[in-house]
Amino acid sequence: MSVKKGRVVIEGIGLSKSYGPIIALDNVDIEIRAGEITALVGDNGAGKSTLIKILAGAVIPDAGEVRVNGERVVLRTPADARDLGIETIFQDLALAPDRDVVTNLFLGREVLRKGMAGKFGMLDRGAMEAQALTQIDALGVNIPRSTGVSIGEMSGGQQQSVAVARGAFWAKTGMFMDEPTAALGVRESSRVLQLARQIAQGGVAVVLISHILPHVMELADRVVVLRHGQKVAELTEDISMDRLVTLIVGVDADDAT
Amino acid sequence: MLQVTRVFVATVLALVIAACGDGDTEDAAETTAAPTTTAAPATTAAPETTAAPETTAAPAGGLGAVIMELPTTISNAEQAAEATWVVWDEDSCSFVETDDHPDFYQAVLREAGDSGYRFAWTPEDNVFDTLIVANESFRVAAAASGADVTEFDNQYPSEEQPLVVADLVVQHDPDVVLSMNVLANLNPAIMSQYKEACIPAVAHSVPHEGQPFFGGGEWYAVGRAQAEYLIAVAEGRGWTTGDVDVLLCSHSAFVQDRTSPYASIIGFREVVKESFDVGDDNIHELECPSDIVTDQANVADWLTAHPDTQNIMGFGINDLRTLGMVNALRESGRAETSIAGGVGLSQESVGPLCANDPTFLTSVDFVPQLWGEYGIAIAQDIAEGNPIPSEIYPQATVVDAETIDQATC
Amino acid sequence: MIGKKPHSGGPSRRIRANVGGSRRSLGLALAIVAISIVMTMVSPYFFAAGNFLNVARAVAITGIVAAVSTPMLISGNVDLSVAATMGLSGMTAGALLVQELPVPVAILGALVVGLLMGFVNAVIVVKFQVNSLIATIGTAFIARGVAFLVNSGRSIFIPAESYVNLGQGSALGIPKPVFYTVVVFVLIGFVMRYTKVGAHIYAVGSSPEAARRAGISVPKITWGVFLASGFFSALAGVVLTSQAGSAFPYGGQGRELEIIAAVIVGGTALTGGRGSITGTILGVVLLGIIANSLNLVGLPVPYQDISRGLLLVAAVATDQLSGRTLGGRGVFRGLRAGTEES
Ligand SMILES: Nc1ncnc2c1ncn2[C@@H]1O[C@H](COP(=O)(O)OP(=O)(O)O)[C@@H](O)[C@H]1O
Ligand SMILES: [Mg+2]
Repeated sequence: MSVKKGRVVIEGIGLSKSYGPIIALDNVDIEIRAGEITALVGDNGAGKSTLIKILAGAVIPDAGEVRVNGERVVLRTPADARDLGIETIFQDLALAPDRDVVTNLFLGREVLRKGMAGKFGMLDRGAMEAQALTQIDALGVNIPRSTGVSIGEMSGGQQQSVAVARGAFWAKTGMFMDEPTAALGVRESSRVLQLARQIAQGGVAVVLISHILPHVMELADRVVVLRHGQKVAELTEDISMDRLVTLIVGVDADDAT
Repeated sequence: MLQVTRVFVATVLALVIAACGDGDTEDAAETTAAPTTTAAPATTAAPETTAAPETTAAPAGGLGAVIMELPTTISNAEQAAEATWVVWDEDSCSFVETDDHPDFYQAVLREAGDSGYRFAWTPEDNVFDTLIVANESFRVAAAASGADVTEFDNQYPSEEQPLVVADLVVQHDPDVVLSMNVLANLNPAIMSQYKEACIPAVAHSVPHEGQPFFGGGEWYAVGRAQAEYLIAVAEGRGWTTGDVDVLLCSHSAFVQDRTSPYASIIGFREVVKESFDVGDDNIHELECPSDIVTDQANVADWLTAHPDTQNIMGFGINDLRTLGMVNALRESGRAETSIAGGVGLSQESVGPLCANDPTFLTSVDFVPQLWGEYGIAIAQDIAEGNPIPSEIYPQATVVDAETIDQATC
Repeated sequence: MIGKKPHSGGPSRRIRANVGGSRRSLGLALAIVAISIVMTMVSPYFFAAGNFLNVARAVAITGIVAAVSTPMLISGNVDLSVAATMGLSGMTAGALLVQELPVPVAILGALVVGLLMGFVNAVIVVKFQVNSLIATIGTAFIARGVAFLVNSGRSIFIPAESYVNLGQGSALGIPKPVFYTVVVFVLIGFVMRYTKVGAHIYAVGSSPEAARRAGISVPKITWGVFLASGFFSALAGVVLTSQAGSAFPYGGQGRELEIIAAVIVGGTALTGGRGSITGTILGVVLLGIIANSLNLVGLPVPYQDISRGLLLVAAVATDQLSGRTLGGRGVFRGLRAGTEES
């Protein structure tokens, strides 16, 4: 990948979103850089999910614009974002539990055979398997490599690894992870977070939403703090636990960047 | 709000569909009317058995001229004199037995004249093939005689509607009600309502203690008649008892006694035993759930398991089942060594009979197209205070390729 | 990372088919073999080409609808109007033939009616978000009612010999209906196993939410399975009426449960997402062989019902024992109190 580390690839400018009387997001600017992990922190209801849903095309903002690689884009559906190489890994998995790893990795983006067979919608199962196994090997994730085992038979960590592997496989520009470790144990969590690091090193702009501040401090290159739908801080260094907690709960509500 | 809209839309849709459906029904009724009227003369002309002219009850009271004399069979028709006769007794609001009756009974439809009688007919439904025809015949007969007949639909298989209908009939207060409710468990409640309101009620299709019975078809007699017909054909072909197997296509859903259509199986079995000497080992009762193709499969399996049978005499509890049986016989290459009969003269037998099918030879016409004429004639007798037999059946006729009304082909 | 070539000698483990599914199919195949061995010893008429052809003819119609009910169940829906559609489309064909319209027109008419049924079902399920179980019970009543109205409740004896010849008799020694069934099985089996549409049907049944987020249109898939269900049920109606030589308004009545039983015995989950056409074929054949065996032995039909019921219960029980739960998935979606707003 030729993306230079630190270059801004995804930008949100003046993003706002209300649900009736609730202002979920209030005029937020955000820059997400290639090769970095940007952590998004904030209390419950602070607007974190809303923000990345806007950037991922799952929510349409009331105001503001999104730019990808400097160009203004209109994201109406998650498919629009995916076409730009932006993948999202949700809190709750978006996997088909009865299907195997290969099928899930290519869910909705199946590889078809060449020629006439492809025109009739025939799958190129061989190609998909080869690519899937390569991806699994490259990420070094611990999931059963044999095809035919349905996702539902795997552990929660393995399932989340499949979801991350899928995101990584398709993400060229950005990958958003909304509390990817919420349902996982300690060891499984750290494995998934390690994957996030690995993916960022590949030149992808990674956004991580997490409540677990030690993880955030250990992994993130940059931390953006949201409170009541507003961006209250963006930190790159001197990130201490105390300072983060203060910013999140807003005890000294006079902070600004 | 969304919910309200949905409910609204659903209701409107249902109404629109119902409205369209109504239109269809009317169209349908029109088309059925044609064959009904054409069939009637043919069937009445055919039988020559029971019509005993001298016994015709004399038209009395306000009734007018005779419109149609109908041949009837009475249970134990051979000993009609032994049959029980009843007459309506206004004082006790019930039918009482009487010895003061003619030797034979014939239903005679008369003009309503200035009698002012009002009758009610409560059919099982208005959907079933036979009943569509029967209900139409009530309309035709009412129009022809000028009788005041009101139809109340029991909406089979509703368990509530027959009771609602009984209420409505009581409010309508007719001189006689012909009650066709096939859910036997409801009849005590229905009949006691009529008794309370002092309305004479005739039970149709399902007998009820204390009420005269007007049967749709006498299943038992039908089975016997079909057996007799097929035995005659078998003898004509030189078949002998030893080389014949009898296949009966029945269905376990029917009560296995003489109160249901199963009676035709009982009658058929008796006759082949008595008159053709077929032993029980050579009479085989198969399950035919009436989905022609399933019936066919079951008969085909039986044929596979009995490759040594020579001649087969088949009888189905209705035409549908007989057609499935005949299909199986044909597919197994036995069309030439088999004969079969059905019941009902529905499309499944009309087709083969018209086409001179080598196997499907006969069916029985229950004359539902004359049930109205019969029913109104019986009601007129009751209203007039005339005695009637406690069981009355329209005369069913055996139909084959020669006797079938070509107009129905 | 897309399109990266696998390194030579790299990931080498070959595909294994769905393990649970193939285990079920193996079990069914063994059951068929076992019954066949027992029957061969019990009845001298069982193990004969003629008898197997009888079985094939007997299951042909059920087979067509079971084939299309497999993707239906896999997608997490169920269509209980299939039997009524058979009846209605059969009556349609019969009515058109009586008008002396050409046979292809009559068949086309029947198939259009089937598609219309699929269309109505899809509208109710997709647009009005009604659970498919409930929706298709409703449309089944409607279709059956309309089937009665077509000829005022009477059946139609089919006058066209060329139509009847489609379903009666044999070609190359094999009952004709069997050919149609084989074609339908091959077609649907191919779609389910080898095509993108098949993969999407599995995905939608396995997790509609995951499918939606992966960019698969759940409504489109739902539309597809219902249209296919209507179409092939109508085809079964055509085969039924041509085989019977008569169109009758209650044609196919009661078969819907038999059909779903065959599909479930074949290993397709009511919870959606799992199942295979191979399993369904085996399920259909197993039920057919059992009915045939009991007929040959002369056991009355109540025993057939009992054995069918036992088989179904046993098949589903093994699903439950292997840890599947039914709550809120597949056919059971949206059956809880209240509505899930979209
Ligand atoms: N679809 C929605 N409808 C109504 N309110 C919503 C919706 N999504 C989010 N909200 C509200 O917007 C606010 C921000 O939510 P969210 O972005 O999910 O916060 P976070 O992810 O930081 O916990 C919350 O008050 C939430 O209740
Ligand atoms: Mg959130």
